Amino acid sequence: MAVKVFKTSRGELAPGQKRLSFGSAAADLGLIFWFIFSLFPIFWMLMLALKNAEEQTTTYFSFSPTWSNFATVLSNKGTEMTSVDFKASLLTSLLNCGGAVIVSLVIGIPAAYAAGRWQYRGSNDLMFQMLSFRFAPELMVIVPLFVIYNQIGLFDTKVGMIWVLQLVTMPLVVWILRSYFQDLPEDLEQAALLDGYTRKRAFLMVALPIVRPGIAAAALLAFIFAWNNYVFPLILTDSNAGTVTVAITKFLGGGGQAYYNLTAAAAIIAALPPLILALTIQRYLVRGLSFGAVKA
Amino acid sequence: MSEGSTGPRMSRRNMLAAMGLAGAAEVGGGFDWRKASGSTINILQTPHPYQLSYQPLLKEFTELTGINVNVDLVPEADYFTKLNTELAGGTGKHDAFMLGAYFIWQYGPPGWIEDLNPWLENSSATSAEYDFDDIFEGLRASTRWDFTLGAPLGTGGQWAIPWGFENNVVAYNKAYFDRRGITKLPDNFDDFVQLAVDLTDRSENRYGIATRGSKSWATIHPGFMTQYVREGAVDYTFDGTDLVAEMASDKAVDFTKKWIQMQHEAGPTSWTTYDYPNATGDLGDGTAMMVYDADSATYPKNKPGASKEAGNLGWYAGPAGPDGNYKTNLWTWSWAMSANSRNKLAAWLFIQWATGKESMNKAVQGGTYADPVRASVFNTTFKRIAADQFGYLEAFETVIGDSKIQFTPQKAFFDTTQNWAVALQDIYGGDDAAGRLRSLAKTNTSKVNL
Amino acid sequence: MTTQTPKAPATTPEQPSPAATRPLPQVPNWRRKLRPYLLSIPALVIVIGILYPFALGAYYAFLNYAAVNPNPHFVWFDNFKSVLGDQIFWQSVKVTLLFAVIATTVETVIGVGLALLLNRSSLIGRVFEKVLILPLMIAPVIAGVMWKLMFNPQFGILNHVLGLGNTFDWLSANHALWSVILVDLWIFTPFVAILVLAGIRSLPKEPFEASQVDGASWFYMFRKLMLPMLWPYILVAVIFRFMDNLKVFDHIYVLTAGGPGVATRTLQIGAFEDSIINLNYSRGSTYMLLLWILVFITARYLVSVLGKAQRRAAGAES
Repeated sequence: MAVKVFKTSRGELAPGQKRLSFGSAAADLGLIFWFIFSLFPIFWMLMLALKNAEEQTTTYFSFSPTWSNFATVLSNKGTEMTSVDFKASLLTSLLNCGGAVIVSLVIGIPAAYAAGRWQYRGSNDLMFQMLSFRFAPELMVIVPLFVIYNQIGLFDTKVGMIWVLQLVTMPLVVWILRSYFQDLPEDLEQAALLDGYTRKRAFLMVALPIVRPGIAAAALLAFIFAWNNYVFPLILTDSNAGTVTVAITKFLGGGGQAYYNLTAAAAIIAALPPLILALTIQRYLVRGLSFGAVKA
Repeated sequence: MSEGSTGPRMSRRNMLAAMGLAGAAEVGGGFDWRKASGSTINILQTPHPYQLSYQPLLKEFTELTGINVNVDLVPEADYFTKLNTELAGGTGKHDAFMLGAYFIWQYGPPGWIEDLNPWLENSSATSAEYDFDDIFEGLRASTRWDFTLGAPLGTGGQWAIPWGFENNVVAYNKAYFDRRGITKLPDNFDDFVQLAVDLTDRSENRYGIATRGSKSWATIHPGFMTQYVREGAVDYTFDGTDLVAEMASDKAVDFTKKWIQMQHEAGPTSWTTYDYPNATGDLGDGTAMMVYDADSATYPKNKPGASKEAGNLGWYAGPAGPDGNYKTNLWTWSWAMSANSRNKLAAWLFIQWATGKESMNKAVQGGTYADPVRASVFNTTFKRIAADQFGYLEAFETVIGDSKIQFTPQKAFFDTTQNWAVALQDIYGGDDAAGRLRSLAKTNTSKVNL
Repeated sequence: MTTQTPKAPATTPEQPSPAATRPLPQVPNWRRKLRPYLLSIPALVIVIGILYPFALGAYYAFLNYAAVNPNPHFVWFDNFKSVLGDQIFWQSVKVTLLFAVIATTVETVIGVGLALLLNRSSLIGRVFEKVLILPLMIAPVIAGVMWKLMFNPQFGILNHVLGLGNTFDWLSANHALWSVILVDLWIFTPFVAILVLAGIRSLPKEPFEASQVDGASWFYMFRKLMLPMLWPYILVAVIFRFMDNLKVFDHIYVLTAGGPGVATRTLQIGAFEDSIINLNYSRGSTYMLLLWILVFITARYLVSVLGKAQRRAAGAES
């Protein structure tokens, strides 16, 4: 093909990619502006986490850094202050959120596939129903949920949290993936079927790998939203299934005293698991799987 | 009217009553700390110097009584969200919980909290050394009410036992005052405002007076309400059948105008977002020269390392009213018992211990616990510990005689008082004070009498 | 059944194999029709499971259930009359809509822009892509606390760095709504960017390569090819952001508690005031039911737009 594609060592261009020099510089400048805005508060939070109590609101950039806040958050002193073992709550959050995402994937992928591939009767309605979970203002369901959970014994349990987090994770997973499944060209699956594979294997071997970026994006975002969810763990757990986001706010203190530095340190520690997950999953997000569509 | 079948809490309450769970009356025999040995109670707390001071002492309680204590902590901003949901849901999971005095007016009428009078009066449940009357009178009265519209605090059930309390007075940067040669502290409000204005220099990022201004009932009750009543204004009057809101009386309008003007000229720039830690924090940072808020909040800030201005702070009772009165509004964190608790005796033993002389004397020694609710603890241990806090004890002794909850008790307290804060914010934003307060008074009068 | 080694999916386009003309393996018709429903049953179960507490919450709106009224009875539409006649309610509707529309629009525009810029795979882009997601890692509640500190005129870093002095109030009655929108877009623009970027990366190459052969400019390709194909992904992001922004609570409450006055009092904050502060659950439920209706209507509309966009995208591809 006589395509004037500038192939460099960086590899092939994907749709929309260009390599103009002036436009590139302007574009990079735009990116830099955004990232200054985006990263400055994080950088500031990091500084705050390194300040001691005297300096947390009296210094800007020059202060004497200390690791003691991180130490306090993770140590017994932190547990005494907040009646919660921060490290344990990290683990609990992992189980709650990981569990919620896995459940959403297991249930949501087939549903999204069914709705995306075959627009069967009622699929739009079911999909809309799943989206409508997200409409419900959390406060609306919180009091009835509190009562119900206590009645059926799900209060302050990980299972209870996983179920209630479906309100957060399921709509994301299903709706993101439905787009991907809708774009899935049927012919590839047909080809696999013709080669003798069952529909299930065709799905697993053909469809699923193609929508991998979608699954990665959906799982990551769902995990993050579940991780950062505040109202549900606040009301529906006490100490057994409490998540790390609630634990962070316990460090703020009360009675007129405020430990912003401890809170910042706790928040940074709590951001690490989702960050690690994001970095691990990134290769699935990055790798542009362009499917060579066989047009009928 | 359906008989409670629609409220989720009702059936459980009936069930517990049917189970005949032990109230105070069922406790007999002599008093013994180990009467409920082997049981476990759940307590709900919010982060606070009181909670921190008592944390290391909890194991002593368990040794004394054989009762295990599970502590759940809820962040301050969400404490009452959680507590409301739990009490409304009727689960009775937490046997005892920290409670602010005004919340009695909201949790009492639906029957969510236990009347502790029968427990106090039962000598089998309460140790002879407990000495309830040792607790300051204003505090004991402030936690009693009979929930009748128009009836004052002080009669009716004892709905919570005071645990720690705060007088609202003025804390100031004494070191700076000394440098400026300010020796006479203003004893009337106009002089006070003038001083605050004189102290303000925006180019040096210094302002005269920090107070709360955020959109919350909590903005009204510390400095504002204290000076409000000192100036002779009241929140409601009772005409025999109804409460009438008085935020638009002449004295009230006058004072409110001055208060808001003071914020503009001598207060923090973002006054409408200033909450409890902001106001006290600025004093500790050396940005605010005075704070009109809880003495117990500024007290820990004077400890070395706690804040930039540690060691430089002083206290005084604040400006007196035109007639020289020092009426002061107080806030108390108290212990209440859930009416649905399944371990009432154990919970009562805990409350008794936590508000008892021995544990309080120990807690005070930590140096961050102020103010103790017991006169005996104040007169001995606390006076010793706080002796080096300039003016703190004098301020306390000036106001303690007139320190009580100055609000008129009513069941719509949070609704009406938050409206009051919103009105202050609107006036700060430019609304005409008299007009805005009139509309506030009208709204509040209708809400309060529902 | 033939036993061929599995082909790696998504490689080069192939000529349709002669096998394509063979009929598909036979599956009973009823089973084929039922399959999609069977796949969706677990999801349906979850839907029903969540509906019950929601229905109960909605039911409260028809009672007069409040702490001062623990024996509530049915009051039909009294709550609705009271709320809909309350001028503060309508003020909150206005604030909510203003916030949601502005925040979602800005987040979408910037998010799509970011996705396009990052897609170029420049060196800076590749570095930044790794940290794009960082603001999302901070829970909105905590982000609210941190931004409130940064906004503080006396000691906050923003006024210091931007040279605004200590008399500029980010959260004053005039500025509060904008500042709150700023925080929201700081947290959530990466959400849009990630979704759209993943979408861009899964678009088929051929239409673009073909049109490059035809000598099309970048703008032309963008408008005629990329945008229509990308719309469904963009719209999914828009739907989620808009729904979430209509219900916004966490960070706004920390920053201003809905103030000053009612400047940032969104509907869920109003519901919170009624349910939790005033302990008037029924009135709070009424607020929330009305909010839910608002969200429902806008979602219905947006989803239908999504449907049209998907049909158009399918057209653009072929």
